[in-house]
Amino acid sequence: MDISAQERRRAFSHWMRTGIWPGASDADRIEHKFNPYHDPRNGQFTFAPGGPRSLSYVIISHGRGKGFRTYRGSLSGSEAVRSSATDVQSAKLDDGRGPGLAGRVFGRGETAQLLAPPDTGRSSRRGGSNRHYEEERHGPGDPDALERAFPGLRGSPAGAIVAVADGLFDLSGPSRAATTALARNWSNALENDIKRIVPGFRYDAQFESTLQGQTNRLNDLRWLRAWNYMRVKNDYGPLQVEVLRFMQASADEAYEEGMKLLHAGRLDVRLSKREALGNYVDKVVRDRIRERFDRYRIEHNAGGPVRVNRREDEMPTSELRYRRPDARVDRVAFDVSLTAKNLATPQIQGFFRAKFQPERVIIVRPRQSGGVYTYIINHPGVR
Amino acid sequence: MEDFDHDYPRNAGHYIPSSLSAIHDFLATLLGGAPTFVDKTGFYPDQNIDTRFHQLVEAFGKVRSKLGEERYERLLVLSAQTKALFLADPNDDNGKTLEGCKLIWEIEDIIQDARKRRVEAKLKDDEGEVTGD
Repeated sequence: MDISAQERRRAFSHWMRTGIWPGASDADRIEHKFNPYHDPRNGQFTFAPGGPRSLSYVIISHGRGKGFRTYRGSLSGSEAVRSSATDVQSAKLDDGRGPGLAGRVFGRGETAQLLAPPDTGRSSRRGGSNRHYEEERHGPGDPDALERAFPGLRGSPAGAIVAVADGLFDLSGPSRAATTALARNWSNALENDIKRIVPGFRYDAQFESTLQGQTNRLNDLRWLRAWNYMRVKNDYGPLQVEVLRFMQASADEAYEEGMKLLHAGRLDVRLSKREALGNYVDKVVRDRIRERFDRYRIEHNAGGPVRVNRREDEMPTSELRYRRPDARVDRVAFDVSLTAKNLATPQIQGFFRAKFQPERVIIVRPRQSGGVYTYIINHPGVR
Repeated sequence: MEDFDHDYPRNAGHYIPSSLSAIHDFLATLLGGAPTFVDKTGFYPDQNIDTRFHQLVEAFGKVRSKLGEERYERLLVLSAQTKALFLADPNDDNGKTLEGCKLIWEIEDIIQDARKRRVEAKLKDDEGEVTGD
């Protein structure tokens, strides 16, 4: 087909979203290949477990019935996550036990709606069996548990490294969703979520007309949901997601600010510029999450399950053996970092030896890091 | 099932860091916000230079006993000087913001020195651990 470069770009963009090449003849096209890691609700890409740059193997599907093959992907410097654990994960995933690994090939007429609804992991806990349909009605899903924020996490092997879904951090969700009608539906869905456990809940503020106002409203409702699930159900899942979302946004902003400060000579550089930048990002993220907890009256100074940069003793207990995760929510530790870390990193090993017995460690890296910037590491002994 | 207390979850007041390590982190956000401290995130629309330095001075007050009087007095002087420099450079174009940032570095050093001495003296934090806080 002879088309201009601009038309080709447009056609390619359309194909990426829909799997249909505009104007293509039906006669010679029987099947369309889709990236299986599309979110069926919004068309955005998600990552395969581990993501192609955090694994030493990348899994490729060859269509229905042909199984998988793996190849060793290229790793680039500090972006690479080097760990025997990741190799173990790859090996385990390769035998098909990882969730959602099957490459999907759709025949004409099949659509993304035919994809199985994502395993939300919540129906058994909260009785939300019709949640997927509610999302279909109300708009994009709003993850309220880490299993929904990290596609592929549920059922992933011990020690697995799983990348975060990119769309999680859009304040107002997918860009196409930034409309008043959708924001209103989304707001209603969040309010209904809270009403399930607090029937008297009512969000008093009038619906805002500006995008910023609507974004603030949605964020406020998310934190109120997290607060209520924590208080009423002793469920820290929604709070873990909000902490992740907030820390990621803060890390992105801090990185950008830090670069400007470095160029202006306003950061105190001692060992290296990178070290100064990393310290700056760490400190800003910790300060902002403390401020956020304070805003929602979430206790983070006492010996409870929500903590920021507090001493966590390792087992066996010793005065000298402890770690300070940047944040902790229940049994999940959060670490802000410019560099990739994994199970071979002594700090991560130390986190997993901590007395609070973390099930997972989330490495939050600024999105400017590129590649798989933020990911979750399962405890090596927990599936 | 519980009724929702509409007034409860949100705290309208300003966050005040309550430990030496929290103040150390807070100082980084001061560097990033200088000289005007207008919030770009949309989360804190009422934030400005007065509120930020109020938070800092209040935080010093919370850890006054851990700092000791000499350091505490020095920190109050430095914070006043820093604020004055930022106020004198609202457009960030006359070099005083950089001078103010260097004073923040000095404040950081004093806080870190206090933490180091608490660790050396094995003084415990509010959780009964030796962390410098």
